[in-house]
Amino acid sequence: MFQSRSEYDRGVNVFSPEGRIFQVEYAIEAIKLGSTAVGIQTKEGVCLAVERRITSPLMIPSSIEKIVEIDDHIGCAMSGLIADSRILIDHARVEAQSHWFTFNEKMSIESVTQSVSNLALSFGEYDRKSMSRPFGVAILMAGVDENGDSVLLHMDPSGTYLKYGAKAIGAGSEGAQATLEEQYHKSMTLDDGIKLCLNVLKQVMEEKISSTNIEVGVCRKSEEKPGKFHLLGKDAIDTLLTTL
Amino acid sequence: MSILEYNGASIVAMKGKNCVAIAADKRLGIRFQTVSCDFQKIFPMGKKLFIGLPGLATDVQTFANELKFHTNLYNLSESREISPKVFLSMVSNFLYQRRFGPYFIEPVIAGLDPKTDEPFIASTDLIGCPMVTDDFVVAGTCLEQLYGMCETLYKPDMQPDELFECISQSLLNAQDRDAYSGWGGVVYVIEPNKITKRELKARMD
Repeated sequence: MFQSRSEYDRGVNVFSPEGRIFQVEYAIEAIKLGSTAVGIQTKEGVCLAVERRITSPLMIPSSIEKIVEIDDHIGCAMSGLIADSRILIDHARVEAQSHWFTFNEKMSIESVTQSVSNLALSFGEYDRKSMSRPFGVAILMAGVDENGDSVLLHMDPSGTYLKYGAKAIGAGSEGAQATLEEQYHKSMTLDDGIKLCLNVLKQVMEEKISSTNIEVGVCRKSEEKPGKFHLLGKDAIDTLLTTL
Repeated sequence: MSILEYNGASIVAMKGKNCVAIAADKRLGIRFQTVSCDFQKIFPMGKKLFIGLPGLATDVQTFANELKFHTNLYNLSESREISPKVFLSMVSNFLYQRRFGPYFIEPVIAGLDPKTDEPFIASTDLIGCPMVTDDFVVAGTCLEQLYGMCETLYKPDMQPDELFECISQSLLNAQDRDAYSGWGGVVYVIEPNKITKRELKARMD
């Protein structure tokens, strides 16, 4: 795919003569091996859904965690090298708490993502703490801001982050994104958004969708204030799946 | 004698109907010797947000700069104006971070919320204990006199011009009974779409 792959793809801080940084592009490729994650933003709140790949019947599915809480009002879904994401998640959690500590207000979704993107970009720096290579994960950061705006942001290994109405990442992202573009509209309710998330996952998953092989996280706005971000339980997902 | 009284200052803030006012004297002294009659003690921190810093003059200037530095950073990274409430938390945090080697200042904050225009006044002590009030806050070397004047003259829901008269009389009559502050005054009246700065003439003795 890269015609002039030469020694320029070795260093993380070396441009190729065409002006590309191959290691970052390869990291973006790594996302396409990860499990699919979908996020949808509506006026009433946001939802995230990811697939759990259960590779062995002996594996305990609930131990796969690909949607995590960053703060009361923010959740994060990821795809790619999950181990890498731990570093980003820890950083985001510390930043969110430190913002709350100094300013006594909840950190905005965009600011959290901004601080994570700073870390994502700091690879290859000559200090002992920083990563030697780009992070191999993409994340969907979702939540409801203190002023009541619901926000969905996508960040890739290059540290670029953008706001989305609906976004899919991971192995099935191409198909999923196409379906989202067809079916998502701005005025949809959060419940419809959750259903669309699940429908999209159902389409792109290889295994049959069930309450054990997916995770769903929701942050619902309540009276113009941020609600609490929470993961749906097995029973709640089961009832949702019967309505599909 | 406390280092907080070394240079002398008196600052007062008051809440009116949909407006707030903050006033300060202009003296800079070294104990009883007056050095300047034009010393800045009130600093703008946003379009409708001011902070008054009475206390040790060197700390006043350092702290004002440090706050401006951090509010500018906040405005850029959050792409919105800092609200007075959040600003109070920030001030209180910065002061408490220096708990055991404090800045010798007792800040007074006055402003309107950038979104809702809700009036807000507050003060903290030198290690950042916040106090939010509904009527007036005072600080400085003639704090007792200011309390007396404000308690006598203040009434709730004053209009901007009434508020200006009230805060000016409170400040002038309080500082006339204090040797460390006075020598002129400055008053800011903050309304949703207007900020008025007025300089007060005072006894110069």
